[in-house]
Amino acid sequence: MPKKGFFMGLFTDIIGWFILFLGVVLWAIVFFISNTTVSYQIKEQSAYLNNEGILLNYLTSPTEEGNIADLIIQVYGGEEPTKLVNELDYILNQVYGKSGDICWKLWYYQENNDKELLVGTECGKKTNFFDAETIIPTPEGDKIKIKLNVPGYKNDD
Amino acid sequence: MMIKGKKGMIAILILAIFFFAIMGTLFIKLQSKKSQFNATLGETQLELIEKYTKGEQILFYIDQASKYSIYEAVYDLSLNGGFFDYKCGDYNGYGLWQSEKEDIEYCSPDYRNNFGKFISTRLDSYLSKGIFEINPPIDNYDFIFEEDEKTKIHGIATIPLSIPILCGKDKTECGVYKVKPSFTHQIDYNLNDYGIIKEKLMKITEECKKEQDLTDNENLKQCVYGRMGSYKGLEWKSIPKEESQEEDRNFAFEATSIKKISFHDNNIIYKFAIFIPDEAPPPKIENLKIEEKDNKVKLSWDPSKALDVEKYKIYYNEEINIPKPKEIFNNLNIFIEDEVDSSEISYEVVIEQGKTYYFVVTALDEVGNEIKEGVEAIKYP
Repeated sequence: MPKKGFFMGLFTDIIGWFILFLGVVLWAIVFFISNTTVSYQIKEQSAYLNNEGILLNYLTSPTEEGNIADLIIQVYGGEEPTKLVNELDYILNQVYGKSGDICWKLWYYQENNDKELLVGTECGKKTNFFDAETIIPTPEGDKIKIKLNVPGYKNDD
Repeated sequence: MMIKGKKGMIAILILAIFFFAIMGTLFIKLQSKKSQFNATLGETQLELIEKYTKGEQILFYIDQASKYSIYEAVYDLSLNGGFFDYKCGDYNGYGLWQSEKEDIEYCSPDYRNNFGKFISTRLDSYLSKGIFEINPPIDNYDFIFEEDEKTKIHGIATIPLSIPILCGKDKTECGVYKVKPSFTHQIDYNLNDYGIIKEKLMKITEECKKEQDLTDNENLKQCVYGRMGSYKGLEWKSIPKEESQEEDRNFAFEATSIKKISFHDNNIIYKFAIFIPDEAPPPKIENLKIEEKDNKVKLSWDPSKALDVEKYKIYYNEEINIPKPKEIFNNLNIFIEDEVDSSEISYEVVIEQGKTYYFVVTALDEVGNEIKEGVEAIKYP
């Protein structure tokens, strides 16, 4: 067969095209089935991760002597919580309190992982603005896990 | 137009086989790639963000822990008298800044270096417990101190903190997030107090080294105790000693600063001790008596009032022409010397009749101090 006839045969042979079409369809099905397990889940996790970083910013906010984390440790050690309440209330209202006074709760975890309220304000309407946990050291050489939660506003109105 | 030739059919068949072979190879290759990235889309990126956040949390933890470690180390160091390890031993648990064998320049502590050691020890006790299931490197810091009214402490990490990045459903390590957890803190305190302590101890040493406790008078104790009180911002107190019949030239002190460090209710207290060198010769021998017995004379005297007498030394002349008795210690070549143990308080000498003798008895303490001024010779007969 001359070369010209061979190439012309490739473009005009119906069976050849049909076999090619079947092959493509078959492999498309194979690739499609093998890739159905891929899923897309970014949004929720990235929101959760950001909260941890924001909590660190709150904890490192400077106060008269040290930072918010130091005030938490002092209250955890038995000191009067007024200073901590004022400082944290001011910061959190700056961030979340555009539509009204927000409420917040600071918890610490006991050794048996039970959550105990360290300090907080009363809540009314709940929308859950913020929720994050971290671990902070104490001057005695221990560490405590704390959780800061901003559930919503102080009053329903 | 159809390809009817046998060669044409074979060519089509070969092409089909090539096509399937290429697609099959592609499939296998892609499957093997897929198993490497068998995860949710963006999972590795999320893992990176998560590890970065965890890194930030650990850095914050280390920062706070280092701050508390510095606070505690100020007290650790002061209560240990500036020492980490006692260089010249201790006296009743108080580190000696000067011992019987070594002076204050040798024994005084390298308090800056020791401050760093205490910070490191405290910090390691935090880090050795692990944070978020990560074990940061311990004994990992070089410290730089910037001292003024306040002290700035830089902790420079030598080994980075490593957080493994886990990939895939089987969570195999596919990378490491590394960060050096260095820190800087400033405290309202400086280490100058240790310089003040050294200055005061040198002063006490200079002023009291020629004093000693006697059986009837505690001159040394009075000298040291009389120098307690306020000195350059520190309130000095001497730790009382137990009653003893032996001379004890070690003194323990507590110097209290007016300063307190955050998270502490107590003022900073420095605890340390010093040995006051003995440059005090036992006092003059009292009640020296001469008693004649045949061709001998027996010397006897009252026991020395010094608590550290080791022996008594007896001098007497062998020549007639002796100098003035007060100059005896400048002319020892013409005197015979002998000594008795401190338990003895008498001595016998064979004498030549008709010859005049001069006798001198002195007491020597453990370090060989001997009184050489104001000693008078007793003439016989």
